[in-house]
Amino acid sequence: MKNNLIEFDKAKKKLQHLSIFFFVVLLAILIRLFYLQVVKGNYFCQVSEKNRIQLIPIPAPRGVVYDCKETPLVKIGPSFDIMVVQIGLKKEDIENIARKLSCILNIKTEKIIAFINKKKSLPCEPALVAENVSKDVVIRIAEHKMELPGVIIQVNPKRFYVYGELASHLLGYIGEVSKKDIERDEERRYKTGDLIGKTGIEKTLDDYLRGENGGKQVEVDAKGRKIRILSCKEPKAGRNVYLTINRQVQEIAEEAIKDKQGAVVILNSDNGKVLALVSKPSFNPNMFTSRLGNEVVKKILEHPNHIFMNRAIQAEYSPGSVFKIIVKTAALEKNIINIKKKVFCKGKYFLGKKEFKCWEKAGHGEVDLLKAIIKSCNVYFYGLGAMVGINSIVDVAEKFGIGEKTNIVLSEEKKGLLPSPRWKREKFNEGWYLGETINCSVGQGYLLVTPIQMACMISGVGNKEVIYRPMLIEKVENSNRDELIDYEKPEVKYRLNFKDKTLKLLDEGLKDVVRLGTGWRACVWRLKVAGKTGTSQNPHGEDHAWFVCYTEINGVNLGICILVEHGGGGGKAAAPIAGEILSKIKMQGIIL
Amino acid sequence: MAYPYKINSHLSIFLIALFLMAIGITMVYSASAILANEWVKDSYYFLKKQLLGASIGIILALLMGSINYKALQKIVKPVVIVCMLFLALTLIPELSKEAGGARRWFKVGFLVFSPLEFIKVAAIIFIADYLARKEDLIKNFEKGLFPILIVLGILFVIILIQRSLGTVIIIGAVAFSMLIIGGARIGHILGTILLILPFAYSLIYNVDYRKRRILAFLNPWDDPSDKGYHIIQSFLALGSGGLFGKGLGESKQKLFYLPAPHTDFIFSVIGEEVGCIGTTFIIILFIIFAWIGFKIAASASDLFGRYLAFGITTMISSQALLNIGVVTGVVPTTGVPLPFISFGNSSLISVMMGVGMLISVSKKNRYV
Repeated sequence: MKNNLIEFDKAKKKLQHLSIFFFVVLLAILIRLFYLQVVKGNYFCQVSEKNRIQLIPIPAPRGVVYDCKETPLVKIGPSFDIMVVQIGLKKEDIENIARKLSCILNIKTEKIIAFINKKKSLPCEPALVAENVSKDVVIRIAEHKMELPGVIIQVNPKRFYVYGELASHLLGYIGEVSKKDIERDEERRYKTGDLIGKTGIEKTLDDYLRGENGGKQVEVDAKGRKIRILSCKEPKAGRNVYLTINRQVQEIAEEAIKDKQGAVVILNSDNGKVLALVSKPSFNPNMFTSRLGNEVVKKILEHPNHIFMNRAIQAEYSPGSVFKIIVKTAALEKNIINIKKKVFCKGKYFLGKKEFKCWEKAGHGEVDLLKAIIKSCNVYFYGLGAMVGINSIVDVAEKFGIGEKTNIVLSEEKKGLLPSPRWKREKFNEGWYLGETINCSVGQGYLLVTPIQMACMISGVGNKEVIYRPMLIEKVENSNRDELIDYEKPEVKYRLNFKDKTLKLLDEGLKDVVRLGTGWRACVWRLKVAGKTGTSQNPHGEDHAWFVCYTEINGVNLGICILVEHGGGGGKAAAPIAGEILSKIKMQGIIL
Repeated sequence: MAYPYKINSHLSIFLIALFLMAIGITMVYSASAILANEWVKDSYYFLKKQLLGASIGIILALLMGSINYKALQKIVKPVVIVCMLFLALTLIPELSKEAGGARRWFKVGFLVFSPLEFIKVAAIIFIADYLARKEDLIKNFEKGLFPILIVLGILFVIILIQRSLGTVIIIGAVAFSMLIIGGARIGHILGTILLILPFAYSLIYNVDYRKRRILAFLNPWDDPSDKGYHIIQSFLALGSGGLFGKGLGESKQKLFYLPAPHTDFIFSVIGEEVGCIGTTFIIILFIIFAWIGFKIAASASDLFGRYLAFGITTMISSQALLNIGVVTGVVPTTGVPLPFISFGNSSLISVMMGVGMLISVSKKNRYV
């Protein structure tokens, strides 16, 4: 303890030395503060008052989106905007102006007054009244300039979706960045008021398209007059994006599906390029670029048909008879059936006492494997599925990518569901029933797929060897078009490794489906189309109609998937759409 | 030990901490309201976060104050290891958040915290524990001093990877002061510092932004729009405040001229709004804090308590010195928050934990 006390005294001495050091620094700071604040105070105060640095932002132009033939789909164009500067105007003046503008612009007077009042607290700043007005309106306003004090016409850059509703889900739309986005954004890329991509390509490639905003540091005097520019950061224009989409094909596909609800996906089966990606009903992304707010947008958001859903990648349906392609492949691969062996279909199939119906009530009579696929006979496939067994079916389905995302770059993709005994045990803790295998054999039950998955699958059947990951981005270039920044490479996603015999029988069967069977409406003169129809029962109403097909057209191998929601039979509702698309591509001689 | 010591020092140190924190909350709001409104359209954004941090800080201080600080000695090793682990984890981009080129924040759900602030406290506990246990050996370089220098060296390397020179300077200053107080020979310490100097020089002159900062410090008016910008804006703020200031909320420099007006440069805003009177008052509060803190250390009932209290007081006061030194241009720009006052929950919470430990040490020495 005594020793401790001696140590303690020593420590105290050392502490004193240390505190002297502390106080020297402290004193320096205090003197410095006094010098800065009191002695030099006046001087700094003057400098601070006189020299003001203002930051003036310069927004970056957003990148252009082209199709594969370099046709611009989305670009920046000038928009003639009508603005009102209200400083120096009395209330009556504003009402008067609003009335006159109302005649010219065809907008209600009250609405115009409301727009002007938005900037009431900042009377020097122009208030936006109308956007993107026609040249006639610009001329009329210019003519009446004397009667419209405070009204100015500004040319602002605006994003234009050149073809309106065309490929709206794929392209997406832009909007003001939300508070949530700003808080979540760790790199501080966004500022309130910035426009960012909200869905589709606009969202996925936002970092490329957005560019970097620039700004000027301007020194201004006390009255706000510019003295000089201190520094200027030029905005970096957004990068240009070239999609694999072919505008003409996309247009043909959208025309073919008309106003039905559904989706169309057209792939190049030799590299996975997406030539068309349609989802209906569609919307017009131009509505979202409006800075005035829009009631139509709200209506769309609340629409019961889920207009914003990209049905091609986000909607999950039972595949119906399209799935028979997979069951047939599984049976041939396992080599357990005699393809010539006939089964008698009398419209029903019994498993114990449970009855499974064929879609043809009267039955198909005697059917072998070829006839079964041509006529899409359920009874034959019930038996075939039961024989092959669920595990073999699941194996083949996995090879075709069922139950897995295709990994297309769009972020909203869903993955569907491939049920298996293991899945069922994990999910419900129940065993797998044979009845479920039978249901699965005709694409019903738990099974769920997306149109893009089906397009990939049928492309695989057409390609015979591999399934490519569907790709959308041909390339991304900088705005001067002299530097390649990014691109998607063809990427093999699944290797099929099926026997030659299997592939041959599959090809023959699917060709006959279109030549003689349920898919005859997709038949196109001088084109060998191989396909399969599907009709998917669902609890929400009329059946969904499927049609998938592949063909070689103008030297390019295509895989096509058509889905019509609540369209009825696949042969009747979906196959003719494929037929129309193919014949138009053929007739118009479109270079793919 | 009949130390003439009658004032209830744990209460007074707590009150000073509360007072400084209240000033901080007011000034954070004043400095950040317009910025926050521009950024997230919510002028209370930083105020709310600071209030949350202050509440957590007060609760933790009271909690720490009510437990026996000797318990810390038992958990010090796991605490240091966990802190180092978190520090290493911030280097993984998926888990961390980047700001101003430095990767120092750690994300857990919606919480973002900086392990750097906590490592300061953890390092102090660790050194205090080491000095208390190796009391007799510390004069011996190989057996006493060398092992702890190695540990500190490793820690500094990890922190420098995070690009936080400020933290290294603070921990270094605190650690060396503690070692001197703990009985290490001044010669050993000075020798070590001399050995480190070349490394420090290369660290500064090889990292471009640090070099620029130093050059800007030496002559800020050379290039007012670029390198010297931060310091000049700070001078303008402090200077235009004058003796009495422009009044609360009246700062003009905080409006996008001053970098980080609510964090590292908050002292400039205080100077502009409440003048020389206000800044001197805050410095006096810090002096009183340091004085009481050192008194608590001096009359601690055991060695660990003494070193702990000394370390924490040194940490808080040296951070205050460094921060104020930066904004007044006495020291080159280094990112160190002003304790209790700057915006930042990690800093606030870790400093308040330190205050809690001071309270705990102070409570014990009253009954000896």
